[in-house]
Amino acid sequence: MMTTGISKTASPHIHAGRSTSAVMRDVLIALLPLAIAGCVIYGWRALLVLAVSTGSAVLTEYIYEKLLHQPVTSGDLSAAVTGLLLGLSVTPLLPWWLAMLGSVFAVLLVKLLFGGIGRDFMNPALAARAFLLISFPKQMIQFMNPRIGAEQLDLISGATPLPAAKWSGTVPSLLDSFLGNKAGSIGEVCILAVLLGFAYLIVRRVIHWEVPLIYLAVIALFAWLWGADGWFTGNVLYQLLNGGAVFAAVFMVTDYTSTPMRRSGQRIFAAGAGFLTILIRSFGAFPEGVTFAILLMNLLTPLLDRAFVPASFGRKKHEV
Amino acid sequence: MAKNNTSATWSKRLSKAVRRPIGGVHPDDQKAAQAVATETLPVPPLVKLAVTSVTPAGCQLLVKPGDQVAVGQPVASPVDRMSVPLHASVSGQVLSADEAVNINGQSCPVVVIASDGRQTPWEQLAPPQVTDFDSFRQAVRASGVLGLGGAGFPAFFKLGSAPDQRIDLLVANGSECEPYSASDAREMLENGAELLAGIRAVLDYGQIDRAIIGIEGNKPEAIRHLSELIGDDERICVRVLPRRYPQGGEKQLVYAVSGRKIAGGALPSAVGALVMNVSSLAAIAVYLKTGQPLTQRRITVTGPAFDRPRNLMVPVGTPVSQILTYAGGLNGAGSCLIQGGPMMGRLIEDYEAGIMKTTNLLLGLTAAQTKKPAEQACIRCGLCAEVCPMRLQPSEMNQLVLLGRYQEAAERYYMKDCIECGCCSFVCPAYRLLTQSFVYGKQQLRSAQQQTQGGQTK
Repeated sequence: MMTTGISKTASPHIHAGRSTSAVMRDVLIALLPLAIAGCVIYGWRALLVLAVSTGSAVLTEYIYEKLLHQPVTSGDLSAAVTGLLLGLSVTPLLPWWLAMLGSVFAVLLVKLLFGGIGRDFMNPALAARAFLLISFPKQMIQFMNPRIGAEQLDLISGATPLPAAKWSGTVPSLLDSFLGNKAGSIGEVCILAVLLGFAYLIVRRVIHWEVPLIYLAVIALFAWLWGADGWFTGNVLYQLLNGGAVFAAVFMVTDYTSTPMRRSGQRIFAAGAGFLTILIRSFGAFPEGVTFAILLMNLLTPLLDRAFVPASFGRKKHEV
Repeated sequence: MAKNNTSATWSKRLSKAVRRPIGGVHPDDQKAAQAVATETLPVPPLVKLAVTSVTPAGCQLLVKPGDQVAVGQPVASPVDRMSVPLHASVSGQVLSADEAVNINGQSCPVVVIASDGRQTPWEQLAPPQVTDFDSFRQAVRASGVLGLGGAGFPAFFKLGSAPDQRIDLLVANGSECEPYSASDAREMLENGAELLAGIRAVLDYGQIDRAIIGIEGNKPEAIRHLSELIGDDERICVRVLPRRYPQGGEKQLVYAVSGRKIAGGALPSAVGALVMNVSSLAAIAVYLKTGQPLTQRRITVTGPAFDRPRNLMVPVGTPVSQILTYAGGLNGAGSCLIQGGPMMGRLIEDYEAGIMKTTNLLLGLTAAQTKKPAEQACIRCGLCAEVCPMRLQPSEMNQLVLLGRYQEAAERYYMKDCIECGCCSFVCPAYRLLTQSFVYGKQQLRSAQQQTQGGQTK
């Protein structure tokens, strides 16, 4: 690298004071209500999954960097964010060794082997979730009913609301869907908690409100368009409140590294991901399309970044 | 660009609204020095006058060791088209006139004068005879005035030589957007009448229709004072600018007050505007009235490493160490001294170097303030592009510079348009040396260009 001529003592001499670890800490704080809600709803099993996924993500990075004699970057908290995101996006019934395997996959294969923080070509948590879903479908689609107010003692529930809606089973009320009183993934079920995290990220200026809203708006549009009973009959609120759409809108579609850098590209990314989500939900083999939709759009990120380079101030494009 | 715009169409577009700034950041103001009246520094025992010129060797020395000089006597005069003369700032004897390193770390001839403490004015000082544009331009050149905001562009050269593009708007730059800096604010308060006289002279001789004084909202006293002084002069008005760095950048300022966009690489004259610093305008007025060229300037000495903020009237060439001693020295281990603001200023390495006409601020920062963690990997948050006032893409440009692909950075991402304001580096959560890498990348481009040009002439 030809960095020798770049002066380290040149201006600017001051800094705004917000570091990468401060940004990641804000994301962790925003995820806290989701984790708490998940543990309240599903109990110690949820806590175990979150602890194992977060802990093994951090540990993987630490061990890898120690073994390769690289500077240890666990302090930037990004591995913790990845591990926690993965834990929040899986079922509370996931065996602990699968939670660990998922985190190792996310941090080692998707992030570290591609160059570490800022270099992952797709969202590590989502990539790991897709890996687990394909490799261990049985363990990944076993969900449990909420601990609170459960009349039946059997923990294992056959289906979450989305497949129930798709293949006509019983579905929870909208209020239960909003508060998370249903079977589902740890962090995705309580929409209220996700919105709390969203508000915090907006206030702290970690993300912009526009991108999640575009993603959800496009989902709403096509959910309405491709209803179960024909054109324009879809239950929009149902599609939004169930599954991982709101969770992904706030925490996955807004990921810095795996989505475009400029707002123009981010808008297209969000719209494309929303469209693909509903396409997979409505016509695909899987009941939920969020994971694969965003991963597919992640692959387009370099193209979207290259396609929308604005001209500098006062210039027309390509006039240098 | 705006080649076909006549002054008539530009004038129509001038509305009272101040345009919202593009990008920019909000560093902590730290303007305590604005409330401090200017003191005069005691005459230093010697001054070191750095003879800089716009083009290489653009000035020739007029004095040799042993010569007696008086205040205001030229010690160097320009031989190129752009440079301006340099005048003795103390009376006394020339000790030496050798090549040395100036406060900017550049090598140039430095005239050292031992002061006799009497500050005898040069007997040939007299108000210039100004009758028309050409004689006005010559007078501005003879005054030795450079852009006193820090850029140091010769004031007379901005006035234009062959006005094929008519200028209809003078923008007096009083925004002073760098944190800590206060010398322009004090100039507006203490020398408001001279400032207005300078503006009127430029309007009259330059046949310019109107002038706008752009001042950031954090200087209410200056805004009120100048508005009162202007009275019912319809040609001049004050515009209050939003407090945002880099509002005082030439392109940002002209856009804010007029909506006209000066593209990267272009000068304000491309959109019919002339931008001059408020202190420069006042210095021109002083020369027109008294014939006293620019031999002293106001310097703000402030920052957490000093016990209190000060504004000092200082002869050009005064060694930094003299000012430091007067201000009680830097406090705290590891504190450093910056020439100019914290965003664009330059670290002073040699405290024996003399201050130059462009030195408006001596800023003492503590070690804690300037401590920079090591560079980390870019997390692609995009904040750098969001705060860029030139709408550039710092993250991508930085990658290309690190790969040595300077040409691509210029062609695909307009790197040459970077104004080096420092906003991207200021906000980068990975502490990447973004601005610093563009400074380097642009240098590489320039030297590559010079090499190819040199090859062609052989």
